[in-house]
Amino acid sequence: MKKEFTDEEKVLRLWDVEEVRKVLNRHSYYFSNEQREEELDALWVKEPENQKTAAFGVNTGYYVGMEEIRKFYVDYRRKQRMEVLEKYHEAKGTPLDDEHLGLGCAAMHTATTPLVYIAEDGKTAQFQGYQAGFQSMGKPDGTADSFMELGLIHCDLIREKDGWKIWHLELERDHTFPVGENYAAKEADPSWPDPLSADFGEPTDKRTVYDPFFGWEYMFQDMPRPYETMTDERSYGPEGNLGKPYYIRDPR
Amino acid sequence: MKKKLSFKQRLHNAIGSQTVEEYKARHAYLHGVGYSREEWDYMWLKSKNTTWAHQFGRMVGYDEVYLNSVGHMDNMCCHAYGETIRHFPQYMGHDIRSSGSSGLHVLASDVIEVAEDGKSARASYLTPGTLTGPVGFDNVHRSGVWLWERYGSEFAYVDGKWQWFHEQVCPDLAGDYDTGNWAHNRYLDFIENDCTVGELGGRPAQLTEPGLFHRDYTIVQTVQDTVPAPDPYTTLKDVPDDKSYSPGRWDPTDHVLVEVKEKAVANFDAQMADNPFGKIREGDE
Amino acid sequence: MGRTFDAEELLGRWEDQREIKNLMGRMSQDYTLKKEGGMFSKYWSSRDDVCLGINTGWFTGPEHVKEYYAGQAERIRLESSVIAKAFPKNFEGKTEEELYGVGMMTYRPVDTPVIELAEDGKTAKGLWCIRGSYSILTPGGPQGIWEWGWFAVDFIREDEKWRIWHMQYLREIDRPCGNQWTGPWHTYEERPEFAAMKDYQEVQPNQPCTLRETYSAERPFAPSPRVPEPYGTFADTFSYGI
Repeated sequence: MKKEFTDEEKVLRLWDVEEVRKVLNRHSYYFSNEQREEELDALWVKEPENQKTAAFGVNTGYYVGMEEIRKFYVDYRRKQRMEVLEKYHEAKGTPLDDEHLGLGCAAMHTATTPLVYIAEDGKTAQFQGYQAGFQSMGKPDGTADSFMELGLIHCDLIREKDGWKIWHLELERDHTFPVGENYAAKEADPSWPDPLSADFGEPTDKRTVYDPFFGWEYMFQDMPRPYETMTDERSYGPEGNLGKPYYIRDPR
Repeated sequence: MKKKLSFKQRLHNAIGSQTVEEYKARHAYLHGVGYSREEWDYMWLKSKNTTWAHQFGRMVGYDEVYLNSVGHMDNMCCHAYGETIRHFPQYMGHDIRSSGSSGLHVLASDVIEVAEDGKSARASYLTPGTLTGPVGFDNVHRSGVWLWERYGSEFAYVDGKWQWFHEQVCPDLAGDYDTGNWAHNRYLDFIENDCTVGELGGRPAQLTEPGLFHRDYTIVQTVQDTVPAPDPYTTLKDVPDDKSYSPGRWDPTDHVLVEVKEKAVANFDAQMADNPFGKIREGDE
Repeated sequence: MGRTFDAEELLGRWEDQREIKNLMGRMSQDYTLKKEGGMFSKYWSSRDDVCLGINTGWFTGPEHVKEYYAGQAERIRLESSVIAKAFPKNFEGKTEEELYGVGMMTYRPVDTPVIELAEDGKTAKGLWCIRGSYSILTPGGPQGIWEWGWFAVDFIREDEKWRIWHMQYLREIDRPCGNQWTGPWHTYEERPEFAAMKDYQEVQPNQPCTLRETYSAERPFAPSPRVPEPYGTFADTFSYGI
């Protein structure tokens, strides 16, 4: 049954929607700026029970729990960035230190087209957005591997003492376009080789959360909608339905 | 404006404004996967004054909008799926309408105004969108198209619910990720007398008001303010025709209608090479 | 910090935020309509300490910020006149005003906003991403450019309206579409009808500096402009101005 809210509650819920969008937009800037550790500390769940069930999803699976998320999102990324710097080190003697980390690299990740619903009980929220971004990794010869990227963002947020926090975040990569190349000249390939698949790492809970070859097949089922309270089924975390075919979601 | 209205009126309008954002986003995603019924049943006003306009002209009345946007759209989706599974049997068992979709009319640069009377809302956007997919129209290669447009949208508050009333879409630019140069290519097309205008709107089956409502970019195109950003306003009836996204059709209750001449009907053919409405060739001769 | 607001105040703050989004949406859409020439009077504060930062430096004070926009308008006027001369048959009977902006297109869409209103309600800050494309007329003809960047803006309430006080408009990627983002800029063979563009020079900031280098494989890592944080009064936070 649809709950009736007081005027005061309605105003607060207007702001809840704005705050939820802002959390995901802040995530986009932290993500682009490689301030990943700061992001985890500022935007993600803090309460111990929520930290245990926090999840970061990529196409190939979930990292579950803040410890695993940190290992992937911060440590693994640092390793990736250091590999780019090593090429400069080998060619030009650039020091392998924090000051030079990111040399020749750039990224922008956006969070456009937000669709947000706050649970009737006000405890959780669901967000869907579209990321149109790019990444570029320079090379010591002055060239770069540059890619534009497109993909969906799904996120469950939970209200903690100091506001809305990211609980489950799923970044689904659809397309990775090499800059200056004709994407439509590439053959359609069900195995879907992604030139930046290394970004997915090795999830702790490996499974197909998102298969770009079948795209947004379950958009209608997965997109946020008005809801009373969070359930496992609705969740964008590992207990939810993302990536599951209809006959698993609704067995007969 | 907010000083003139009561707290309750302002709250109603704020919720209306946020509902506009919600509807625009829901539409963007559902349209992206060809789930037309699920948006037209849920969000759209069933009025004779409901309109949906694109480069090719304006669909008038909910029935005509539904015919084109649901019946016609589903027909095209089914046809495309039937072809795709011949080439990629992996798609068997997957959703006819949505499988393999991953393009979006992205929402950006939103301007939203709700009428002082709380009975309508107007919005304009830029949409730097994508028409990308793992399998392109040729069923051999991927699709890497981008399409950038402007939106003018109007909504009405009827029967205690915000409902989508008018939409006008204005495509300006399209290209392929990431090859060619849209500005230079259009220039070369023009001087080689091979520049077509009016091909970015798709292929409707029926139109009450056909015509080239917005021209896509060419080297000789002057500035078009087809869907001006909304200004603060009192009531939808007061919006001048040159600012409206559906001139004359301000009444969501159907008491005031615009006289309609004979409808222009095209026989739908999914394989049709050309748009039956609107396309013109333009060149340096 | 951490003031609590009642429902009516919160609603007012929500309306303020919507007005700020509308301001930026309108400004973004005005680029598509080639309305750069009117942007200062339409969107900017009347204060003496307004400033605009672009990659190559600062325009400080109203006269210099106006010069920036006048320079943008001048470029549009020049491009229009060159195109009109190149295709005279297409423009017979058209006035200079009707031809203004012909043959050029700009999409400078803004998204991913982080907006913070001061607790005192007198100022606000916002950061937006730009993922756009625009055309320029080069001596070799029109060229489409990918543009990725940011608008980072301080707003001030003036006569019950939000106005731009300080703005950084910074480009991260500014490279021809369909080409690599490093190495020499792709150019087209010169054509006599567009030769007038050869001598065109952008208006330079009155306080030149490298506010931001655009992306290159040699550039140290450079994050976006700082993201706004909640604040009480403008004195409590950082400025996007100089």
